[in-house]
This record gives sequence, C-alpha cells and structure tokens, in this order.
Amino acid sequence: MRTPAARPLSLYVHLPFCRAKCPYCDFAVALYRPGRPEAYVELLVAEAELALAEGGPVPAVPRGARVATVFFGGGTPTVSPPEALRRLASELARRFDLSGVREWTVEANPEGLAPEALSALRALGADRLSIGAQTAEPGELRALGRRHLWEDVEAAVRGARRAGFGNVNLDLMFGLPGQTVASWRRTLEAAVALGPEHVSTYGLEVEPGTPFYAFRERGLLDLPDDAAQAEMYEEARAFLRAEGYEQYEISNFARPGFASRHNLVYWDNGDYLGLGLGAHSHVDGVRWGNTRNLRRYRESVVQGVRPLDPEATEVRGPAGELADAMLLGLRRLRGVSRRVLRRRFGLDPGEVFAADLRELAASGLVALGKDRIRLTRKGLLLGNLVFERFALG
Amino acid sequence: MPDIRNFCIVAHVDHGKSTLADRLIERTGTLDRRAMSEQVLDQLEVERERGITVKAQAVRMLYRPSRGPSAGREFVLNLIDTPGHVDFSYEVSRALAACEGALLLVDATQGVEAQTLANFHLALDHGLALVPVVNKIDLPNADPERARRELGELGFLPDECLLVSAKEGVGVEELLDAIVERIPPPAGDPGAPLAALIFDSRYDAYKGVVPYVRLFDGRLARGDRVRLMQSGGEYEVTEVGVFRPQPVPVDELVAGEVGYFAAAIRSAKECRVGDTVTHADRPRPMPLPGYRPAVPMVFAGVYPVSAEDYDALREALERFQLNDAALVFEPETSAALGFGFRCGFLGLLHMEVVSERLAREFGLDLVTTAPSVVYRVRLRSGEVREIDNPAKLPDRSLVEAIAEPMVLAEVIAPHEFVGPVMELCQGRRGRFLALDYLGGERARLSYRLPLAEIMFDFFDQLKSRSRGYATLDYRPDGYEEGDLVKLEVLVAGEPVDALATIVARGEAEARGHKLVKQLKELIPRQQFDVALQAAVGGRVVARETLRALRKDVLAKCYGGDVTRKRKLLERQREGKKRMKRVGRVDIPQEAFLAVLRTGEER
Repeated sequence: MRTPAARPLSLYVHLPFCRAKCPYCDFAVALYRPGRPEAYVELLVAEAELALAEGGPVPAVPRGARVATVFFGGGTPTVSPPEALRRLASELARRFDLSGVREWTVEANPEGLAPEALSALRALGADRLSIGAQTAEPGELRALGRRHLWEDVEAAVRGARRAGFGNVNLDLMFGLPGQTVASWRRTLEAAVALGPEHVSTYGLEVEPGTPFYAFRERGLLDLPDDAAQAEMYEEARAFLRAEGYEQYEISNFARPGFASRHNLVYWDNGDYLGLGLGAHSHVDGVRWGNTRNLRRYRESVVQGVRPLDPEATEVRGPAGELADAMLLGLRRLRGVSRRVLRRRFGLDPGEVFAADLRELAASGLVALGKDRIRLTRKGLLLGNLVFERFALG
Repeated sequence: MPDIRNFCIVAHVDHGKSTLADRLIERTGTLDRRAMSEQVLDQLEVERERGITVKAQAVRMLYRPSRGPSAGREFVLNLIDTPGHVDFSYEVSRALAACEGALLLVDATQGVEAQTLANFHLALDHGLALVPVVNKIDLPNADPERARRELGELGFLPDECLLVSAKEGVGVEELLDAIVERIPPPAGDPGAPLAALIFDSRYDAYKGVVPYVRLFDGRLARGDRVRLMQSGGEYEVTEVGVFRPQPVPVDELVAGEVGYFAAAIRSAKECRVGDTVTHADRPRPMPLPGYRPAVPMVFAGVYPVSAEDYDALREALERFQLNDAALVFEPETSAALGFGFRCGFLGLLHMEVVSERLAREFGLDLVTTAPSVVYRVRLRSGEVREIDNPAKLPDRSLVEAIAEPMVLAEVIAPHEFVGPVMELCQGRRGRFLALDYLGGERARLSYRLPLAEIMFDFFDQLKSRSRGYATLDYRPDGYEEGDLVKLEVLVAGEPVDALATIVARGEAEARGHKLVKQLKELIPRQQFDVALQAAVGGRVVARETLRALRKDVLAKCYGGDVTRKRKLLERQREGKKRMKRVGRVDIPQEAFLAVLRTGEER
C-alpha cells in the first residue's frame, strides 16, 4: 500500500465545461451553463474523498499524499468562475499535501480571459497557463470552429504575464483543413513571437464520433495528406529548434528547464490520480478511467461509488507495466533507459522485446544505444509502427 | 405400405422455402413452435446467416386430413429439403430423384424467376407431380394474380395454384391436403432386392458418416450387410431411423420410405450423394440411374497466414471432407504464400461457405487466392494438360492453345433491363443465343459465356444493372478454345504467383489496370514506395505506385488515457498479423481476391 511518503503523486482534474463544443474535439466535454461548474466542483470534492477510501475497486490514495504536479484540464477550466476554482483548490489542499507542488497547469481558451480570473488562478497556486491557440490563420480557426482570433491569443499571453505566469504554453495544431506548409510556418512564427516557454504541436486526429469524422466520411474535409503533414512536422522541429526550443517529446517543445513536469509523469509511466469526468488514473500498477457520461458520473459520486468506466479499468502487472513504459517512454526524444526500467519492473526491455527491437532497428525506426532505446527521426513520424509492438492488452 | 408422400420444395432463392418448411413441420405437430429454432431445416450457422441451404435435409411428418376423400387416414409426409443454389445442382437433382412430387414455390411479390424455371424443368425431367404454391400473399406489394398468370404460362390451371402465407400460416392446411391428394404415393416392391438412393449425408463423431436414403425397393434393417454400388464399400448397418426432425431409430425402413442409416462409414468420399445402397448378399443387378462423381468447377489456393497452422489446416480440410464429398484438395506450394492447399469447389458459393467455415469453426487465419476454372492446355507436343492454377500455366513457347470451360446462362429480367444485361454479357465475352419474352413484362436472355467470366463479379453486376430484378441460372456447356494469356502481378518487382490470372488477350491490359488499382486500395502503405505492376509475357501492361507511408503517429496520450490508445494500436497490430508477408510487403487477404472485383465499377 502507498504511504504519504511514497513517490509523489500527480493530480489531474478534469473541468469539462466549454461555451461550445469544437467539431474536432473528442474529450469529455459539457456545455457551460451558469451554476453548472459550481455544482460539478462539489462532485469533484466528493470524488476526491472517495479516492482516499480503502477497500474500493481500485487502489486508494493515502490522505495527505504528497502531490508533485497539478493539471486542471478540460473542457475549458477557465470558464468556471474563479470562486468555484478557489473552492476546488482549497478542498484538494485539505486532502492532499500541495505544499511541494512544482508545477500547476491550468488550460485556457484565449477568448474572454479576464485579468481577475488570471490573478485568481495565480492566487490559488497555478503557475503555468496552457493556451489553446491552435493556429494564427483566421480561415483555419474558422474551419476548426474556434471562437477566437489570434489577437485573443496575444491578449491572453499579455494577460498571463501581467498576472505573473512565468510559464506559458501555446497549443498549436497542424494537418488542418486547408492548411499549407507556408501557413503553418506563419503560425509557428506568430507563436514564437509571443515568447512562450513551451509549445505543443499536435497533428489533427479525426476521431470517430466527432462532427469532423462525419465531414471527412462525406469528403467534406480537405485535409493535407500524410506527406504534407510530415513536412509540417519537420518544419516545426527545425523552426522551433532554431528558435531555442528543445523538442523533448513527439509533440512537445520547451525552453530549457520548461519541459512539462506533469506530462513527463505520463510518459515516464508514473503515478497520477485523475478526478472528474472521463479522467484517467494510474496508481500502483492499476489503470482506470472515469465514465465520460456526466449524468452517470453525478449519480455514481452522489451514491458514494467511484465513477469508473469498467471498460477502462485494468490491472497491468509487471509485463504490462513494462510494455506501457516502452509505449509511453519512447514518445520522449531521449527514449527509455533499459537500466531504469529493469530496476523498476525487474525486466529488461532489451531482452523481453529483443526480436521486435531488432526488426524496428533494421527498419530504421528506433536507435539502440548501449542503454537507451529511442525513436529515430523516421520513427518520430511513424511512431505507431513502433508503439504497436508494445501495445499488449 | 403405409400411406406415404415424398416431396420437396423448389423455389428461387428468398422465395420463402425454409419458412414454409417450418410451417409444415409446425402444423403437423412434428415440433411445436417453442421447440423450433427459426427455420429448423437450415442447420448450419453459415447457412442460417446467409439464408441459404447448402445441404439437403429431410423430415418425416404425420398428417391426418380432416376433410376431403382421405379424411381421417394418417399419412406419412416426407419433406426433403433441397440446396438453394446453382452450385449444388447435382445435389438438387438427387434430392428430386428421391421424391414423387414437388411444391413449386413462387413469391407473390416477385413472380416466376430464373431459378423457378430451372427448378420447374428439373422437376419435370424427374417426372415429379408439381403443386404450384404462391407464397407471401400477406405482403402489401403481393400480386398473387400475376404470379398465377405466370404459373399459368407454365401450364398450370389457375385453380391449381394455392395461395399461402407461410409467415402468417395462411393456407397451410389446404396445402397439406393438396400434397396428399395430388402427389402420388411411392411405387416399389418391399420384396425386391434393396435399392436405396443416397441423397445426402451428415458426419457424426460417434456414428461416422450417416447417409440419408430413399428406399425404392426392399427393406433395410439393423444388422444388414450393405454394399454401396458406386464406391464398392461394404458395411454392417448399426442403426436405421427417421427424422422427426431429429433422428429417431426405427426397426426397419421399407420401400417408399425416407430415413437414415449408420454403418461406421468413415468419410463422405465413401458414400457420395447419388450412390445406391443394396444388400451385399442379395444385390440388385444395376445401380439406380443418375449417379455422377463430384466434379469441382473452381479451384483456389487456401493458405494459412502463419506457417505453423499448416497442419491444423490440413486436419480441418480432412474433417470437412468427411461431411462434404464435393470438396477436394491437395498440397500446393506458392512462392508468395508458402505451403497450402489447392482446393476444388462446386462453385463460388461453395468456396465462400467452406472458407468461412474453416475460419470460423477452426479459428484459422487463412488467405484464399482468387478462384480459377480448369483450363485445358494443348501443348505443342500434343499433350493436353488440365490447369487449375494460373501460376502453373506452362511457358508460352510450349503452348499451342488454351481452352476454357463454358456455361449456358439464362437471365430473366424485366424488359427495361434487357439492354444493360446484354451489354454486360457481351462485355463478358458472351455469345448471344436467344431472347424471348415471357409474360409479366419480362424477358429471358440466353448466352453462352466462359465460366471464368461469371466468377468475376458477374452476379453483382447483373443485380446492379437491373436494380436487383434480374435473376440468373447457368449450367456447364463444354470447353472452347480462346485467345487467353496469363496476367501476372508484380509487387515491389517480385512476381506474386497467387495473384496471377488467365484472361482474354484483348482484355489483359484493361484488367491489369483495374487490378493494380484495386491492389493499391487494398494493400496498406508500407515504409517505402511499392510498385504494383501487371504484366503479360514479361511485358508490363499496367503500373501503379503505392506511396510510402510518411506519417503515422499518435499526437498525444491526452490526460493519460493510455488504455484506449493502446487498444487502437493493438487492433492495428492484430490486423497486420492476419496479412501475408510477400517479400517485404504485407498483403491482406482481400487483396488476393481483388481479381474477382476487377470487373466494372459498381
């Protein structure tokens, strides 16, 4: 069983409310209505309490556990009134030791970010703002169904600085309808001009069940082909490196010292507790996910039952943990260390996956060092061909 | 002899044969509704899913008419179900030979169709008494009068045609009475030497192959020593019985009756449908007429995706053969696919059913190559070789001529579709024979076509060009020499023998173009560019390039949702496992059947 002194935990809290749902979005999202976030925060508090109780279907987290990083994701966390977020933060602080938190990220949309709201976030302990900027091109923003302009992004970054955020991330997207390598380059330039400490560049994934999926099926999405997407990706790598950003993960770039500590916990297959709608957790070798259905989430929490999605709950065991550590760790540019993984799981991935690794190295997808295994440049573009070897259910 | 009526139901596919059979079984109290799983006679899972009967079945029902001249007497009604597909026409003919009468079933919404006519003539050829039945009269678009008119053109009187809704159970009583009144009782001499016709068989793990028989003369009882006159095998009978519809042992079967016997027969090969059972110590001088050995019409390579499954595949095929004498196979090696088997089938449907069942019942991942007909290749040396695998076609320099099997095809379609159907048949190297107009605004087209052309999505094309109205029936019609060439396919520069086909020279280029285009759609992109080429005699006639996969990577594992992404990747990997690696390229099963789809666009 975990003790409060054990390896620190990361905390993810999902705030699902948005003013509108973007047509490409596949996250657990609910429409904002006045009063909804306040009621939802009470459910989060109740769920946090359930997460501390022993004897449930998944491992409990000890009361007072040391928390290393916090991430408020969404949805759009910043549509929740500051008072509700304050209450959430103080209730979390009553159950977890937040005194040692080294990174506290809040996701935000650029539009309508009031200075008071930003100051309130700082006051409750947040020190990193992650802004969903997506693209600087008005046409591409429209195609994405975004409700902001690049001016909003500029204003948001200025506001964040004024409020005292010393760590700002811009989320950017490529592979968008109508996007070209040239327009992507303009977005990268516009983003870097705002001086963020961190930039994420996500290739658009068209997920089943989203309006974008239906559009694509009907031939209505003019998406760049994978050769163009590969070019955009290479463009981002080259440009951001030249601008002083170090790529540390497939989609993530940061000024030295600003790699996201919270996200590194995911990629290092560390422990995290997720609270809220559709949130995922990984504690003591068990993975679980919460239901994505708000009504079911509410009913479950109100009845004092953990709001789990049974489909997303699994006990991994050492072999599964090792495979997950490979699948996730190879996303980092530095790759994985055989020595570290052997110490953690008692299994040497170089031996367990010897045949696969040999093949992958022969295809030029991974590079095998004395200790480190990492993706090559080609592997970064064709990561799924590598990851599938470690996708063991 | 008891009062017996032996009959079958013949119909076009989907005209409601199985439902009617169910209703008869239910109405005669043979099984109650609760005990009946939908459509008792179609027992195989695959059959049920496809709504077709692949093997014949038999059921014995008791019926006591409550009116008419036979009121109060008890009759034994033996219903012999027949396979519903043109692939199985020999099996149909043996089932008909076991009967004195047939119900000619016509869908009230569709009228007489190609298979209705084919079955009508087949039944007449067997001298059966026919009872015309118009089914589905409950449907809103039913036109029973039109169906009656069309049956009238076949020589039936309007009063003869019974109107039935098998689904609603309407008219079933009248139909049972008609079976008793209009179908003659079996003739036959119980005292004569035993003559029993095998019209089907089933494999039973404990009893061996159980033949289904119709006795024409003599008696058959447990302990009898019997001889199968065609195969020559002799056996000791361990059980005789009847179907109600589950097997029920009886003391003996007598001339005129239908039932089964068990005699520890090891494989279906030993008791082919159509064989005659007689007593070893008192044989009849001549077997019953009409026997024909199984002649496979199409051949395809069946290969395990993973080489370790080779033995499992052989065992599965052997197990299959116990129950299916029409399936033949022998080991074959392909440069592309490794070790597998060349299998012969009665037709495409037979092939699909067998490969589906191999996959499903034995859990095997298989690659089935495009089916081929049997070509007769005349060599310059004068030797004639039968070639059932295009890859094995001898070198051009040795070949004098190639002959291919032909069929006589009859298509029935509404007038308005005659043009498109003719266009299709001409495009498939068909020779026009006749066009005649039937009643009900319909026409019958006769063509002589190469069998190979019918395998290339002919039926789908026929349906799409006639908005589903045209129906097809065909029968083999000898061989004919043609200007045929081998169309080879090269993937990444390597010839893939399993993708080779034999086509008419004039069409080689067009076929090649369509084929490589299809392959481009079906083969997933690899880490490098892959050339897809079609060639005739070493000359490339068509080429496509399958562009290298440039980017395939999950952008993120958002919020730590590892489970879902991992499952996606897992599915992707499993999908690849089911592909066959040829050289450096992974080729999915569908690609090997691409040649079947290289006809016109749908």
